[in-house]
Amino acid sequence: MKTTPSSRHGGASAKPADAWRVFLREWASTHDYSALVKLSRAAEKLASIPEVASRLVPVRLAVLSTATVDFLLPVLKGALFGAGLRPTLHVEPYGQVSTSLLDAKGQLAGFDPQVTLVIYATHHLPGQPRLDASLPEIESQVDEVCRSLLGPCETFYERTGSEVVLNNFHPLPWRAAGNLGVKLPGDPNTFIRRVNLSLADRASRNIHIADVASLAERRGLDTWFDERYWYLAKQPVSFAHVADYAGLLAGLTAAILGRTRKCLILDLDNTLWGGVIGDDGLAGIQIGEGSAEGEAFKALQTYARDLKTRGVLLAVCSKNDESIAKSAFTDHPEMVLKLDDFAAFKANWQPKSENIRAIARELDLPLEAFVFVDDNPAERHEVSRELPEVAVPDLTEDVGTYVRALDAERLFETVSLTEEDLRRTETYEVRRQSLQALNEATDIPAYLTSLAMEAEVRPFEPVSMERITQLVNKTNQFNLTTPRMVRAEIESLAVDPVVLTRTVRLRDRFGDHGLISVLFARIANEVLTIEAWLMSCRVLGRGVERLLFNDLLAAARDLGLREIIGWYKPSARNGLVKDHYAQLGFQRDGGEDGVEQWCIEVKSAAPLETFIAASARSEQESS
Amino acid sequence: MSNEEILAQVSDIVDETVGLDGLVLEPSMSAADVDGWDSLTNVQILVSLEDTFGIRFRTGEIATIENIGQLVERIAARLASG
Repeated sequence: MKTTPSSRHGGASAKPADAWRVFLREWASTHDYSALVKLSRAAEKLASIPEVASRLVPVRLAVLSTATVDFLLPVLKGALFGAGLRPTLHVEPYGQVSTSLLDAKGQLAGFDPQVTLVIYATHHLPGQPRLDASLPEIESQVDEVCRSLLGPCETFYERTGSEVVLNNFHPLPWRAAGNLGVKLPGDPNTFIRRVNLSLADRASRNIHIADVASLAERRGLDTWFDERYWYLAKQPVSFAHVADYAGLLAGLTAAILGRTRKCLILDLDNTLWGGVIGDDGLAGIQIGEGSAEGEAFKALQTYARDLKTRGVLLAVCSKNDESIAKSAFTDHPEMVLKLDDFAAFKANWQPKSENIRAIARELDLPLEAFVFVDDNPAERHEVSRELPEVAVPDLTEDVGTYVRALDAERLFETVSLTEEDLRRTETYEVRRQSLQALNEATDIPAYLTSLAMEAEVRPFEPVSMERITQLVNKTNQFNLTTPRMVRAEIESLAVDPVVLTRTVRLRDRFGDHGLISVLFARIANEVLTIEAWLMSCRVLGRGVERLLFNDLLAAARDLGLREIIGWYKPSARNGLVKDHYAQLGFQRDGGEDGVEQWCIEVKSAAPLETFIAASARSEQESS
Repeated sequence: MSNEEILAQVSDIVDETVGLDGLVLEPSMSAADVDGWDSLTNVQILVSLEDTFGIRFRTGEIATIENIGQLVERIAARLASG
């Protein structure tokens, strides 16, 4: 009865990249379980084609669960593909969460995951309390439960360096104590809520809580959980919501690996306010208190402002007269967003896709970093057709639903709030000012001198690990070998005696750019091999790489090394640095597996000219 | 909907789920007669049947069904009782 699989019939002739786009579109709009499984299988085949695979971030992902994950896994794979990842999965046998985590020699440890998903079903929450238990009893029970859940995760992280994603618990769609339950510490749902709060309070920064409770509440507890399939097959989420659940886990995994959207591009007329500013005038547009629509537009502006506070960049892309468009922000008293909230502002009559390309160049971010919001379906269509990398949420005609639609896709998921994130908009603003300064200056050395730059070169230090991890995983262009690493891998480099680690912080007269460059190199047989060298493009053209080369050269001399070797591994996005080593005076010296090798002799190399002063702290370090 | 029509749809769903091409189910067949119809695909088949026919099986009901013919009758009864 078995016949050849039907996969040969369809799509074999289509270009893989196009087929992948079709997958992404269909994935976002499909909810039916069996259709999702089919899409996921098709995506898995496509993802094995080099052309598609090269655009995905590989991740070794382990899954541990107290419930059945057989139904989740195919959909989870699809969601991971949808989030731009290429997973290698390892699934531990059902029901052995804590023992697997604690077993230092088992298969899980051998798999060496970068991210480990730990799935606990609400019904397997340890220590179901008595309904009449007292508050102190419950408090000590919550304490015990959290320790039993988090302890193995923390131990596992410390031993293996794998980031851990642990779900919290959805309440049950029934309550024997009724309304009185809220007053009873021993009521199951009250208990679950206490456990959730306590888990979030206690989890260390490498244990990420997947907020299943909030997602279940949003979707509705009545449909989130289907007890029939729990009893029959230990399926922890109803089939209608498997995709939601998988999306939550995939989004968090992508965020851990730095694969997340960084900039929100907004249309103006009928998106940030009601009406058309060019036709209706400042007094004619709807924004703020006074009308239902105005309040809805204000809610969207407030949401965008909160994103900005969290480190997401905002930009404008509107078909408008620039001065009229800007007047709305400077002159309308109800406007929540102000002109200086935007890192880029395009108001003209060019196609929006062209403007978005220009914004991407200006902010130096890949197209994958952008989300575009526009009330006009034709504009959305134009952008998603021309720039499929850009996320374009579907909106209805009702402005009252915009915030939800934008929020629903979890496009800006993040796992940390670093100071650098919170200051990022500011530094882009600084960069724009210095670009203007560059336009005014006629002579590069004079310009660089005028910037009054000061740099601090330091090894990897504990206070910087978060930023280093972020920079390593987010940098695409100025990145010689594009490594993708979790924090623990980076921390282990810092303490490795044969690895030289370097970070650079840069400050100039316009502001503090923070930690902007990362390098690590391995010492062996009198050779210093630079395995990774990357830099934020915010400070391109400043000569930071020359400064860092000088520092390396000095270090190589101090260590009595003979040669410095550098690698360049071409990727789809790092063409910018193909001549990096040539420009520093290295000679091409072969290479293999698509990696170019460059080398320079320590004794014949000379320090390069820079226009950056070493700050006091790094001088002490190098003396 | 006639029992024949239900049987045809059940056939399609089972076929899709277990990944066989052109499977035709007979009323006398049981899960054991179909390659790949195991406890996991069984759950998937149930979910698809519920979605397709707009019905809900009772907890434990499935365990009492012995063959395809009984499954079709059960679906027909559910559809008739609204």
